[in-house]
Amino acid sequence: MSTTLAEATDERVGRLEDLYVRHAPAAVRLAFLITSDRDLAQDLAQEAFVRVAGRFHHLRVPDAFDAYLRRTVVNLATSSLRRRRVERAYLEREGGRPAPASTLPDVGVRDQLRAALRRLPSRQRAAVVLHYYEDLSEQQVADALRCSVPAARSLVSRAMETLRREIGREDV
Amino acid sequence: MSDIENELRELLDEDVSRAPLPGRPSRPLLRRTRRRQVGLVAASAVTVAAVVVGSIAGLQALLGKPAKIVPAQGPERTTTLVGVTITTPQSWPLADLWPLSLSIATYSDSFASVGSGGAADQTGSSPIPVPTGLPVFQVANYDAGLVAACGTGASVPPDGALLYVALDPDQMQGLTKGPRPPDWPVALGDAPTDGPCGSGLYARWQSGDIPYFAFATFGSEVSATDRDQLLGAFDGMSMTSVRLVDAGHPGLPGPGYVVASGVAGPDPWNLLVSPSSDGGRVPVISLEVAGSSSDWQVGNMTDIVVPDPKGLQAKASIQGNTLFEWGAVSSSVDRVEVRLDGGERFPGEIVAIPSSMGADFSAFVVAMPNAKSGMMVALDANGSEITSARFVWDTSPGGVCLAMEPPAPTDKPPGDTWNTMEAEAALRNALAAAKTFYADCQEYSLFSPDIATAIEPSLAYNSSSTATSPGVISIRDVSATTVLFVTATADGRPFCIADDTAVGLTTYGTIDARTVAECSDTSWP
Repeated sequence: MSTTLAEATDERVGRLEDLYVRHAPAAVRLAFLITSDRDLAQDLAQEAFVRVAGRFHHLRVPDAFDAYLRRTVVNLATSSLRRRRVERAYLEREGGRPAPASTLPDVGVRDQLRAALRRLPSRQRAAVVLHYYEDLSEQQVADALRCSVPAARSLVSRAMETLRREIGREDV
Repeated sequence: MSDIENELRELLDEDVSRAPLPGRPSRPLLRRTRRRQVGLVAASAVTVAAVVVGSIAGLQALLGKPAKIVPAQGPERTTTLVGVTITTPQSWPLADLWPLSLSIATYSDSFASVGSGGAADQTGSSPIPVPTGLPVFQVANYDAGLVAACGTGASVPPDGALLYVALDPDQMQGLTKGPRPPDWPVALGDAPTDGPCGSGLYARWQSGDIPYFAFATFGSEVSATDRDQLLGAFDGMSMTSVRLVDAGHPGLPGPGYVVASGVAGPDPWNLLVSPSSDGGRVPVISLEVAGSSSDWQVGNMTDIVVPDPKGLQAKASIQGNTLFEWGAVSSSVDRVEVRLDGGERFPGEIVAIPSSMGADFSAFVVAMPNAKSGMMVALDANGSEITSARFVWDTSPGGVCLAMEPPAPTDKPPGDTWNTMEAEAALRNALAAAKTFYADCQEYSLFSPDIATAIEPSLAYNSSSTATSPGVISIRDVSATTVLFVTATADGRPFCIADDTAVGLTTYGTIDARTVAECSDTSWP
């Protein structure tokens, strides 16, 4: 039985839709945990999906779609945070306002932790989310961040050190 | 697990509940994704066409004049490509054609294959001949170019000898009738037979799940020495089971000549020279090294400019515990060597690039286990040093950072003449070096005078927190996110510059700052 071009196209689009439904929620969650921004998380997850699914036939290991998507989300999120940080610094400098992070109210430990997490450098924050939320191994974190295992270990360790210091805990 | 780790996990679980739900994808999103898919496939096809047409053009240019036979002399080279290890004379051009196979497999659903009529039958009226099988490599006693000698109409010169090795995609897909090919070792046929590559000697075998075939052909006037050498190379081949997905080379610009090979511990590596993929005239030198998971790491050196007499352009790569220094040297360089800071010396290998590449330089490579830092030195025929470059491989906890830059110019301004402008310029350059380091390591913690020198050797550094000298940059208050530089003019006026990546701010000052916080102005006066 022959397949028309329209049918073939519909079939491909259907497969893409399935792919999106299967992988997008995790991508949005990851992006949200790194950026703490709902709209930005949606945008980043969609952009990551377009980029990875767009080269699906070029992926060396198509079965590892979620790993490629995770890596792309992390890259986009850290780039986005870096841009925002520069913008914020510019605004602070121009407006002479203090950094918002320094004016966070002294609330409970969890809020302190949340605020400290948001102040971490973007790659450290991504490493923490990948390790403690996604439960990835050091090797998988290194793959997602495109760095060596020792570097990934160091990012997590420095992040934890900073978090402990900022909330005044020395329990480990 | 500590309390804070538990709290962090709970916090992340709590926060993720506030993440939006993506729902079903919008039509524009799907259309955008499809457009990207189609665009990439088209770009691949165009790239393949450009590579193949370019290769054929090169081949035709070669065919226009008799191919020069290269005697089998000098040392031998043992090379591993897609699971096949072969030892051949170093002087014989060995072409890695596997990148061509990756491109063919990317854009074509079907390809020409052994035993099914050859390339021309399956590609119909395509102006681009597709090689038979998925080519892995070919080696010959002449420069056969970077186009497969099987299925593309290439012929062997009268005194030529050529061996072509490829994968059999039909066998892989179960499209070939008959029994599974035997395991390695196998022998080439005794007498020429007609086959998909023309008349020659054929052999088929299987290694792991991968079916291979080989084709050897000889000109009517080939010397017995070259014939025996080529047949001996085939008989001496060995197989390593590989997964095609890990067979490597995705980072190479295209098919290339293997000019040097070796092993670093158990892992094979190859130094290759390929035509520039963007149509440039200067070829690209690439180093590919197998990793512990059989995945290949590739580094490319493009835009090579090797001016005489400072004829060294070097790059560094790390795989496992082996540090590679590799790159290009000019004709004035007779030998290269690495002098480690500990005193140990490693001689490098300088290898010629096939003349068809049109390069006016040679390639070199040095492989060193457990090297940390030292000088890459180029020497002339008299043993005099022509030029050198410093490298540092910092394996301290927290990062693997490498810096490789040319040596310091000899005409740097002496500190006792530094004025305001020179002091400020030096601080800006020091900060640029630090940011280069940060881009690689994502932190400043390991930034030290040694690393600063490797990245920006035109300046002098120290790590003194108190002495501020004209002409010397003091590196202070280094943490993961901060770095501070302080220097002074010749008349003793201090200047500082600081960077804090946590807040994304660069700050300035005219004091002998001890901490980043002290260097807090928004600009210099």
